[in-house]
Amino acid sequence: MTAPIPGSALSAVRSLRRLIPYFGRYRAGLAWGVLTVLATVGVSLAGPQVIRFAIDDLTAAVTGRKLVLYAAVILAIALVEGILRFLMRRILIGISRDIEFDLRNDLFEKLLTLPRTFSDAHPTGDIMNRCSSDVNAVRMLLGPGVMYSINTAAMFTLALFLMIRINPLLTGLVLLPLPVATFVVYFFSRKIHDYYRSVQEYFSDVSVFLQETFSGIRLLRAYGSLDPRQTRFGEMMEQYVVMNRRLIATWGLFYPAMGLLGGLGGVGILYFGGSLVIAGRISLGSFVAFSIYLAMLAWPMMSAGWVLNLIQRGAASMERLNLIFDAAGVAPAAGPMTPSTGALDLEFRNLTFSYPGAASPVLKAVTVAIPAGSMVGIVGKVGAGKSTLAAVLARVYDPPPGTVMVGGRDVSAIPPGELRRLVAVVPQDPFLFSESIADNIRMGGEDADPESHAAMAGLGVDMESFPDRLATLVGERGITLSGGQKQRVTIARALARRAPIILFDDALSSVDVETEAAIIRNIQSLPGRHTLIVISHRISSIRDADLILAMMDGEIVEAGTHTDLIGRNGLYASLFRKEEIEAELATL
Amino acid sequence: MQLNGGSLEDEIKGRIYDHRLMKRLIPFLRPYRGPLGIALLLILAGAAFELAFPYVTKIAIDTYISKGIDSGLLRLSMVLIGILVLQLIAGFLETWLLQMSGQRIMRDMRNQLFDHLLHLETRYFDRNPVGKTMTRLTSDVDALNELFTSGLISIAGDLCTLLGIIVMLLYLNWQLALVTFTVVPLIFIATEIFRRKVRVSYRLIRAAVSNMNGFLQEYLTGMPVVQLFSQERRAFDKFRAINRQHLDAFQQTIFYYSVFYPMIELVAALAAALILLYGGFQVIGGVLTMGEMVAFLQYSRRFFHPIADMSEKFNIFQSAMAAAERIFTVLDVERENRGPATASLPPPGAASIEFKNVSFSYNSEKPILQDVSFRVGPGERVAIVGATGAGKSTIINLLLRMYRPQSGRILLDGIDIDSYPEGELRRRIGLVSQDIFLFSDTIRANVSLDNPEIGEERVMDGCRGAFIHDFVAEELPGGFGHKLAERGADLSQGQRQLLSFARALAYGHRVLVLDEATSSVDVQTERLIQRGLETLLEGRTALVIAHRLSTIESADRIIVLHKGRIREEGTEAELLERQGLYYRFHILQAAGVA
Ligand SMILES: Nc1ncnc2c1ncn2[C@@H]1O[C@H](COP(=O)(O)OP(=O)(O)OP(=O)(O)O)[C@@H](O)[C@H]1O
Ligand SMILES: Nc1ncnc2c1ncn2[C@@H]1O[C@H](COP(=O)(O)OP(=O)(O)OP(=O)(O)O)[C@@H](O)[C@H]1O
Ligand SMILES: [Mg+2]
Ligand SMILES: [Mg+2]
Repeated sequence: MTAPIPGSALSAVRSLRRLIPYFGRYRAGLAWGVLTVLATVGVSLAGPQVIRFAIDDLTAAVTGRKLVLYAAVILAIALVEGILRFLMRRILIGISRDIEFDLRNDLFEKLLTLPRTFSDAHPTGDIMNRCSSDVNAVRMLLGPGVMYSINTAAMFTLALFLMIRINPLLTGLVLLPLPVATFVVYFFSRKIHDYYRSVQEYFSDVSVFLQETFSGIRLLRAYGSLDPRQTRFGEMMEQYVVMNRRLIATWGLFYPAMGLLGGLGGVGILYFGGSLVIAGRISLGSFVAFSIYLAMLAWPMMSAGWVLNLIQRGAASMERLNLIFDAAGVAPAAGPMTPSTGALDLEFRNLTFSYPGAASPVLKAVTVAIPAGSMVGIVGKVGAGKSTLAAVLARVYDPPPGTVMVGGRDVSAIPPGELRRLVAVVPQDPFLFSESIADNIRMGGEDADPESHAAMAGLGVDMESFPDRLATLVGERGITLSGGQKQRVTIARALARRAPIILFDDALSSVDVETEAAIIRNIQSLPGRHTLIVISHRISSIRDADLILAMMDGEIVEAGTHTDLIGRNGLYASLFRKEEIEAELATL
Repeated sequence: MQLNGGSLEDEIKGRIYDHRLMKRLIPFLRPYRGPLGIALLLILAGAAFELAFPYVTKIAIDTYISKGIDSGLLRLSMVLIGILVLQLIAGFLETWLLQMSGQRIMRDMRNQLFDHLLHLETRYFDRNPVGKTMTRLTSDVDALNELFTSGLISIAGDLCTLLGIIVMLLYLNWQLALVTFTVVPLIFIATEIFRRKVRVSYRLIRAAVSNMNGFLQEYLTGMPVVQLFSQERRAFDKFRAINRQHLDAFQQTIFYYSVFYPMIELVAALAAALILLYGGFQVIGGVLTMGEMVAFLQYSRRFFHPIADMSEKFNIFQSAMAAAERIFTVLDVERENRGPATASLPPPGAASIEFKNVSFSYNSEKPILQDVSFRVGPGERVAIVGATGAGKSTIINLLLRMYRPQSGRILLDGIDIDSYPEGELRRRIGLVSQDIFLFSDTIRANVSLDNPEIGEERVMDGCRGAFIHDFVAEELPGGFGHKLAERGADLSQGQRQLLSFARALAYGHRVLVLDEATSSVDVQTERLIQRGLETLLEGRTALVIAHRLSTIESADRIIVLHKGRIREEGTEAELLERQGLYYRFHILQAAGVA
């Protein structure tokens, strides 16, 4: 047996500290709630007294009037109790839902500020599980947990108070199992906390698995790989039952154990109290009264077990939520979008960048100045670091300070929210939301005119074929669009941004040459001046650029115009020639 | 406003068919009737033990303490301790049996649901967000668990107790018993009203939970886009609105729930008042003794105890039924036609593909493919070109039976693809899809997709063929055991595509379908892959879709698809000569480069 670690039980409760401000927000309601709980306890004790009194009275002399009177009293008390119970639940459980609402909002608000490094490390399914089932466990602690804690404590105190009044000595006897109970509580609490936490962690894995299975269902289906997936799910479910088994065994033993301890007190009373009565030390009447109150104590003991179970689960879940709350985030920029003021220049100064946890840098001493209003093409082999350069520019990943300058300012000093209004990115992996096409385009800018941006992005013809034109809803990730259509919607979205810097990350790869040419033409004729950066595997997209950068293994190995680079006969020239062969074939 | 017709979403209104749902739930319980039955007995035993304690106390007082006899006290205490220990054991076993059965029932249910969902038509997944589909398997099943663990069995226990008490009441004094029972209709009415109201709320809750998960799934995966486009505020507002929906639905149930339970207590008080009045007048009339009435009053409280208890459970029941509705709605969605179980098929060899007058549309309004006919002979390599949105990927979807054409036939090796068992069809066609998907799993698992036939050697060979082997082996920290981030977020787009390519090569299917398989790959790497393919594809049939000329250069034949129709077909030279669509396409690209 290892000694219990105070840290674990303590830290569990410490994790709940974050909830204090939420309680503060609803303190008036909570106060009322506590009051109704106490009143309910009071009335529920008074009710039987009245009936007993009535019966005593009636036994003495039954009259019709008295009967009616007592019947009315019974109803009245029930009514008061009913109203109190109604208020108790309504107020306390209601508040727990309110806090749940606040908590979940805060959670999501926080998630919105977390950088890519966070989502790289924590898969979607895991975070979803935290937002649903862990928030729920915390809610159980806040609602029924709090309500029954107060109730239990009140019942316990009241019964104890009544018992002490009758006989302090016997009361002492009743409390004898208390130290043992404390140990039992401590032991079981810790176990429940730990086991519940691992159950939750495991279910996060299940959630991740499900999320990926359904996201990748088309792939699994195309490869006839549904069966292995199903086998794996079956194994996971089996394992989940096993994980739950420990938890169930623990709390399945916990309540009855608490009940046993409470009952032992009763046995003690019966034996020692009985002996005392026989010895004439206490009266039979007080003994009987005492045992009635003792029965009252049995329930709070059991319910204490239940409440503690809820608290431990809530605490374990709160720890899991704190992973999100404690992560370092960046506040999004507030305020309206400032209209762009002409093109901006940018500069990479000796930029060396590695991904967190990676051994070697992905970008090595990248140095290049891009004048405002120019068009820059970037080419290079797979994995050369092109997208990384784009990511660092928009601070999707933070570059070292002083290495990336936009309009003469260090991007590290520009809040990401503001920076992203200066740089409109068309990501390499097109992502659309399951909203209308128009709404997706409007993400670029609220005041955008989706029609014109869509037309500029070469969606004109396709638009006609959509059932509701731009109001057509797309599936998740744009699944109901063709590859090229998706890409062009993301282009329209970026154009709607009307940012001084536009960055295309291989954004025309799924578009046919004819459409591609049209889009490039449209963008070059955009009103106002833009700095345009085009990353591409197709030379045809960038050959007219003012500056072409060829990247290899994280370094810019060549820079210049098309003619310069062809003359240099290096990487660019060789890439070009591969395509040129095609061209020659074509003109045969 | 819908591209694909309605989704299966969220019918909140509609009639409530509890018995029908129950009937469908029973089969899930059946395998566990043993443990559940024992648990029920234990509950009843527990109730009996509970009565034992006061009873023993009474004996102690009456026979020993009040008479001053010391000797029996110890024995009685021992008996009590014995009872307490029995209670502990019974309590533990009850929880254990119920909860473990609950867990196993959930496991069975999840397995069945998962199996069902995996085999739904692709269309289903076009319409239903991943997060919502997940909800069916996660929290909807969880909501049912409570029904199995604390709901059904304890309701059964309560019913038994109730029956016993009814008999007891009738036996004690049937007139008073009938007076007591007059309030029962009130309980039924209250329950019925509650049931109606609260069910709607619970349906709203389930819908809200589902919406929330749908939203979270989408926005968490799209978080980079949200942030890049400063959509934080808007996303938050949307989330808040869904969260608010969830809150409001719950506040409603809390209201009904808070009203309902005290209501039952009130009815109990009404019964007590009635007994007091009726019994009292009978006492006055000398028909009844006071003692009888008092005893009756006490027993009548017992009568309402299980009823109140059941009313508590009713909430669980309603919540579970709302979840069950959603689960069974999914289970009722028709599965994808998996084709015959077995079929006599030609042995896999170099295969031929044939489309015969195929017409297709995703939604009935707008035809995507019209009267498409073509043939790819064994060992032939055919390219499909055409503008974006022309319907190229759709042809692939049909070939893989992801969707079914409205008319026309598709043949693989001269046999209608409908005659292939599901696994068999897809075992013959290797696909590199335009939409790349990778799992947050090892490189190895991503290539083999857990197929035991694809061993380490084939994984490596596939990677070599896609020219990604050296990168994996040398650059990734864990080599082939390296665990990728979600969707392979820690790879470059081109690397992701190459890995998908490696998968198709590792599987080594007779037919290879490449849908823009190298669109994110530089020309140099593409060239290397193609050179390798020359030998790899020897004797295999290939269908290649690409916008890039270099990708399709080695095709034997080219099909030009335009707005869902085949407009040109022939060798490259023939098409160039014709000076049609392909010619234009070619010249444009050539002009861009030269
Ligand atoms: N799942 C779907 N549901 C409804 N419509 C769809 C679906 N998938 C594609 N479409 C529509 O069908 C048409 C053809 O799409 P398809 O993906 O076949 O085009 P494609 O030729 O592959 O184009 P690209 O070159 O851009 O990939 C498009 O207009 C598209 O919007
Ligand atoms: N989030 C990440 N964490 C760790 N490594 C990463 C991450 N993203 C990319 N890499 C690695 O960094 C290198 C450069 O990737 P990047 O995406 O910049 O390449 P790229 O030039 O855009 O390639 P492609 O042409 O394929 O898009 C690759 O080797 C890749 O595996
Ligand atoms: Mg890239
Ligand atoms: Mg396509």
